[in-house]
Amino acid sequence: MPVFNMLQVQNLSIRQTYNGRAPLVQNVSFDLQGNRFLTLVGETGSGKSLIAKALAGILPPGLEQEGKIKFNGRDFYGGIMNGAAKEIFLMPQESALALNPSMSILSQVAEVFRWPLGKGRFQSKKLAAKTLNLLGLSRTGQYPHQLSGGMSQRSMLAMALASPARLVIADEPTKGLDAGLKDEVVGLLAALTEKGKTVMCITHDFSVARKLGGLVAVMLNGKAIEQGPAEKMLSSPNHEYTRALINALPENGLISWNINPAGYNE
Amino acid sequence: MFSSRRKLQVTTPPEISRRIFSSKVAGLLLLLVPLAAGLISLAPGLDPLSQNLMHRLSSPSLEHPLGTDHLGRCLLARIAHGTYISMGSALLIALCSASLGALLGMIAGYIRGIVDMGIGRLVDTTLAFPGILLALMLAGLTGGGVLVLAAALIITTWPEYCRLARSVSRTLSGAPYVQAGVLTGFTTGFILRRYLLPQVIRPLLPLVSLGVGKAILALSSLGFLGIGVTPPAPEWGAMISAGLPYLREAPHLAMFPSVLIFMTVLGFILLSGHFEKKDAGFQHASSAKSEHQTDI
Repeated sequence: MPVFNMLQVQNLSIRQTYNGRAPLVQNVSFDLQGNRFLTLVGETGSGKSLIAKALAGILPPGLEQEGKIKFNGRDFYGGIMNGAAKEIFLMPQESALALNPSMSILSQVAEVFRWPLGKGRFQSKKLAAKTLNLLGLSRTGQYPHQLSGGMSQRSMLAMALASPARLVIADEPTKGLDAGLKDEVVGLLAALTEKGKTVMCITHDFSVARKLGGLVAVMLNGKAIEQGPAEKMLSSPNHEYTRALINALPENGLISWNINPAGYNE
Repeated sequence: MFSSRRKLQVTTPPEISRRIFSSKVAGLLLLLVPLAAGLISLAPGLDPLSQNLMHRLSSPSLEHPLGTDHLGRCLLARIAHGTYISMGSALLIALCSASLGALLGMIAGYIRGIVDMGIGRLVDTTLAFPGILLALMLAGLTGGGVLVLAAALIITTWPEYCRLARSVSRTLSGAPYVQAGVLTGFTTGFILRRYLLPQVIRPLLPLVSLGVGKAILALSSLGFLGIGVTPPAPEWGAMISAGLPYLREAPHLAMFPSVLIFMTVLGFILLSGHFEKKDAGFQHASSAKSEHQTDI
């Protein structure tokens, strides 16, 4: 696969429109190459999900963004109106709630095939069944309420595979999953790149970043305090906070540490 | 604890009677009567219009099971044929106004903005207008007829459905799965049809069932007032008003259509209660599920 810059984010800031408080996201910049991973790691409230929302163009009302987003070298202003759906697939937090409760997973995935590519009803059903089987879902007639957390996560991934978007943003894909399922979902995300997708993963769990590999950006209080390849960051983290996050991984044993974000200086 | 509760449910007489006389069963049983009347009208030899002045105002007999009216017409035949006019048009009115209201309400609640404002003002204006008055005016202008009355009732009843559909779809438009659908790139029409409509129909069902009952009553009142259906055609309300002068000699003339209206309306109201219970149960179950999922 040729290396190209899929997504360039320069000095992205997100602030509340009507007050002068400090921005929620401050001057975040990163480059993401095609067919690679980027993992945004950070604690709750550090602005990870806001970046994803800004990219998809669904910032909640009352927030405004600044800075440049380039997609495939072209300026990109997120938003459904600007065709974001063709470029970006956003897997929302809690996929169980992100599936339409009144449609079977087969028809939901089939609709994703039908919509942009204009495939026929039967062909898209067939393709959808194939995609779901690929991800290990054989009972395709099930409805979302019949699925477990891992199964609904996999149906969401099937929709990501079906969509024409080349950038998949997974917002907390391992939220509420046990260790085994977490490994499985990370493996499936890795499989997405083999299908030609670029994956941006948002998580508070450093182990996900380690398993995915690729680039890691650590967020703290709205700033990207450290960026770099996962292996390098694991072996020699620069920032104190990153070190604390890595120390918090279960295999590093019980070390007494203090992880108070207010106590770190950028 | 759980097993003893189950045992109770199966064995105690109050539980059993509660199940048998649930609003669903009762409503369906009551609705069997107008249904039977509709089926009876298909029987050969039952003519609602043929007069026999020799046998006017006769009591129920083998030949005329419900007796005859002041012109010697078979009351059973008239009631049976009246089912199509009274209940048929009431169903038509309820379904049409529910569809219109649901469509406009879903659009208003989902698209919001100026569309929502426009539809909202239309709803307010229509709600301020008394339905019977509009029906009277239209009947006076056009000379009446079932279709004119139906149109008048549809025009005045759709806002109820519209307001409910609007509030449901407004709430849902912020739901994660609807947002996910929008982000996936589905068109607005598809989101309305496959994402919002199934959720809007559920709370609308009790309202529709209630609306059928209300429409029967409205049609009957208008028939009783003498507008709407033109005289020889059988309509339950008009039959009551025709029977009033003979209340002493032949009370069955007004009684039988009244009883039928009562049973039909009650049947639809009970059914609406059943739908309401089901909807409440569904909402309870779904909210419990989502609570459980966000709790993790």
